[in-house]
Parts: sequence; C-alpha cells; structure tokens
Amino acid sequence: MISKQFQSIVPTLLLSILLGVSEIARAASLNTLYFYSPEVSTSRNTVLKGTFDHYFLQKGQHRFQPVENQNVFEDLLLSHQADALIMSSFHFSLLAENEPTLLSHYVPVLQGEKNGSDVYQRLLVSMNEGLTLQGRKLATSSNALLTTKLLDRIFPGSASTKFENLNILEVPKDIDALMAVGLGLADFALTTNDSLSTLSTLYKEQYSRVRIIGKSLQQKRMVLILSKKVVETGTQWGDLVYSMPESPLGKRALKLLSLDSWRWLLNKGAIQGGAE
Amino acid sequence: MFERMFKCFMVIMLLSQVACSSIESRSEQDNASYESSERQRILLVNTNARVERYSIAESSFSSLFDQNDIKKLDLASDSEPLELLLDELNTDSYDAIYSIGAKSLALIDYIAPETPVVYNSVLDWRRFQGSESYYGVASEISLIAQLTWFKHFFPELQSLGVIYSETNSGLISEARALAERLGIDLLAVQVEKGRDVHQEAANLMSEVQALWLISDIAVLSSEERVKQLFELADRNRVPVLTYDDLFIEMGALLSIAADLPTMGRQAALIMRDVLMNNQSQIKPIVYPAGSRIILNQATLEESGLPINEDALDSVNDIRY
Repeated sequence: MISKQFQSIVPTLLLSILLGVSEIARAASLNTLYFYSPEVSTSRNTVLKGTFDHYFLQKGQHRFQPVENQNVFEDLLLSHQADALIMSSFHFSLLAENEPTLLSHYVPVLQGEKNGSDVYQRLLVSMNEGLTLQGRKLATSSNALLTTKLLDRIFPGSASTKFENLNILEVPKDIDALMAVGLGLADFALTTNDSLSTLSTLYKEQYSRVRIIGKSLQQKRMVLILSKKVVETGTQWGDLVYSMPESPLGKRALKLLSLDSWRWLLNKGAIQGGAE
Repeated sequence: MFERMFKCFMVIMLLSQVACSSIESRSEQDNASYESSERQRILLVNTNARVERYSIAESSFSSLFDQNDIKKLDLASDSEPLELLLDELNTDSYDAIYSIGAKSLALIDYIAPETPVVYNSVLDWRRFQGSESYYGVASEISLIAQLTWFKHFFPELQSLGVIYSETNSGLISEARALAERLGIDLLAVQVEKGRDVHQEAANLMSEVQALWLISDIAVLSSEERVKQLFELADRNRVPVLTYDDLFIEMGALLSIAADLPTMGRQAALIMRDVLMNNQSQIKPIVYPAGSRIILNQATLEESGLPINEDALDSVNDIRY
C-alpha cells in the first residue's frame, strides 16, 4: 500500500522539479478567482464559495477562492501571485495609491453594477443629530481600518480629533449596523444608501427617525481585476464573469455580492488584440 | 496524468496554506487592541473553553484587550469549579469579571463578588436583568430585528403564526404590535394544559403563510414534539421561520440567529464602559447586534413563498 502511494507521488515530485513549483502554482492561479472585500464579512465565505463554485462547475475548471485575511489577500496581489480577483474598487484604489506598480501588472476589466448603477454612497447615520462621535459606539460592517479611512473621507482632515475614543462595533452586515442604531445598540452606523433605501421600504417608522450625519463621495462598486498576462491571452475570464446574470446560478452568486450585472471597462476588441 | 497533476496541485496548496497561516498569525499580532489608560484587570470565566460557541465569545472579546490585562479561567478544566473560582477571587483582585455561559454566571452569582460582571451566552438572561452590577448581551436577536429580517426576505409575508406558552405572553403582545408596523398579521395561539395543541396548531397553519418558531420551553418540550410540529407544517405546506440554525436540518426555511463573534465584541465594549465607569452608556442588557442567517433552498422551492433576491447579500449560508 505504502509503495503504491509512493509510486504515485514520485512522478508528481519529478514533475514539480521539472516544471518548477512556481509554474504549477501559476497554472492553478490562472484558474482561480480570488475574492476579498473589507466590506463583506468573512463569515459569508462558505456561501460565496459554494455558490460561485457551483456556477463555475457548469462552465469549466475554474474555482472561486475567498480569502479570510486582508494581509494574505494583499500579499497575493502585491506579489502578483493572483491572476483574477473580485474586490472592492475602493480597496484596489487604496492599494494602487501606495503601490503604483500594481497598475503595471493588473487592470480592472469589469465593473459591478446594481440596478444599473455602478456607484454607491457611504453614510454616517444616527437617531440623534446632536451627538458627537467622541467616545460613542459606531456600528459598521467594515473592519476598523477601513472604517477609519471611510470616516476620513466623510470628514476630511478631522479624523484625529473627531474620532478620538470612538468605539467601533464590527457587525457582519450593513443592515445589522443600521438596525443596531435603530435598536439603540449603537449611537452611529456607517452604512450605505442601498441599506437605507431598504429600510425606507421595510420599516418606514424607523426610517423617518434616521438622521444622515455625513456622506462620502460616491464610490464604485466591486470590480473584476485581471493580471495583464491573463488579459493578453483573451477574454475567457471576463466572458465567464460577465455572463453570470444569464444563468440563475450566476445571477444568485452575484446577488450574494450585492450586484446584479457587470459592465466592461476595457474594449473587448482591445483585449483580444492584447491590452495596453 | 490528471491524477498526478492533481496531487501535485494538492502539495502546492498545502505549502501555500502553511505560508498563509504564518501570515495570518502575523496579522493577528498586528491587529490593534484597545488599551485602557490605566492598567485594569479582568477575570474571564469560561464555562467550558472547548465548547465552540464559548471559545468564539472568548476570542472575540479578548481580541479587543491587551492580553496582559486578562486572566482566563476555564471552569471545565477542574473537577471543582466553585473552589477554582473562589481561590482565584481570593488570591487576586480584579476590576471586572467577564462570564461566558450559564454555569459560570450561576457560580459567580452564588459567590456574589462586589466586582461588576459582564456576561453572555446565557439563555436565561432575564433572570439577571435586575441584578445590580450585572451587564449582559442577550442570547437571541431582538423581536423587531427577527420580524424585520423575515419581511426583508419575504416581502409578501402578511400572515405569520406563532405558538407560545404563558411565559412568553408579554413577548407575544409586544411582537404583535411590532409585526403590525411591518404589515404582518401575527396570529398567536397560546398552549394551555388540557388542550389539544396538535389540533390548534393545525387550525393555525390553515390560516397563515408561515410559522414563527420561538424559544418556548413548553412548545419545544421534547424532540418528538418538535418533529411533530415540523411534520404538521410540512403537510400543510407552511414554511417555518426560526431563531436557531438547528431547525434548518429539520426543514425550517430560514433561521435568524445571533452572530457569536459580534456578541463577544459587544461584551468587550460594555466591559470598556464598565471599566471607565461610563454609566450613561451602560445598559443592564443589550440585544445582539449581529445576525447569522441560514436559508434552506429545498424548503424555499417547496414553500412557494417568493423571496427577495436582493436580500441574499445578507445570508451566511444556503443549505441545498
């Protein structure tokens, strides 16, 4: 039994040596769509993986890989190990600001949309207009680091003083944050115009009591990022992701990410001919 | 050839997992933790650190404090937990106690130290609601949050049935008013001794679009009774909406439970207020702010209840 197992491992090891481990890892990476968003709770990774993989299974050998940890995901991107990624547009912009070489390796190919719009707005809301943030509880579905950056964008230049001793309560979902304010579990919520709109149709009485304290500029929704190497080989990845709304399973997978369609950011003809 | 390639791929994945885990542990160290201005000491008392829900509460609470400020005690590690706890409280002094689980809180309550107590993972939390210096996170999502989620997932839900006993009569009258605000007619049947619950439940199911299963000891008195209730709901094609993932395996359509890591983080924020004596911010009990939502796809297809596809961005799991 042992020798049989050993016999089957030997060719694999030889192949690894001949091709080089990195080349095989590269081959695996080409078929893997990585995902991370600081705005999506990692507790939802199971349902995301299950649904995306189910969709990909119908289309070929691709697989979906949500990443638990922000540092691991950023390492994948910064070391150019990943070839296809779905991520927050805001997160990609932040990384590209700090590491401009990222743009020479990667290109945003598809822009996610919801109800025909590719943008959303971050809102800071409270039930009490007169409250200051200092020492208060803020419910948010983003991690603490991103929350601080988003607050910086809502109140430019006043982060260090205005948010002193702010108690950040991280919750799994955007609507959880909004409900936490409604139920008096937090003084403020960092939410989105999408969630507020949901509340307005769902629970008018609570919606009427919500006060918008601050708004971010409009932010782009999630994007599909591809390595330039992948883009040069054709539109396979782009087509696969773009056509998701055409099948019930693909549509459902998109809904899990609060999206319902994609828009090409690159001219398809340019991709087939090799993108710049 | 394909098999060999697959094995090779597995070797690489294992190697990358090892690399990833080392990066993850580095990132855990990088995580900013709250630091109190003065050194204050917390005694964390866990009923059983090997129970997953308790260990999640412990780790999410602890991640928001400097580890040097917390002394951890696992009551399950000793055959005489009361003595273990007494020894600890007599040997050292603490500014506050964080209690996880019912056994831990019961022992602390028995000893009655003068130290303030923050607790969670206690089903019978209402018992401690009036106790001075006891601050907790309830075990279940608030009624209004549960009902709001139901309406969010099923906008056409207009009639909901619930079976309850006298212990929950206050809760049901509150729920009825809240449901009305959401456009839901809550039809409630109280279980009473000597009455045929099965027949009353059957009558109720003929009038509603869904059944709301709440945590009621008289209604859920035995596994057999729960099974009978689900069989009845199935026969009447009435989907069951509930508060615990456990019922998904029995065929419930949707469960809205409390998110365990969020409960630990909420307890940590309460603890910060307690340590800072921030009285205006402290409440004796708060409801969980995070939800864990499971959808049963097979039941959904049988139920005929239309789902709001936009609500899927809130589900934690879909069971097929």
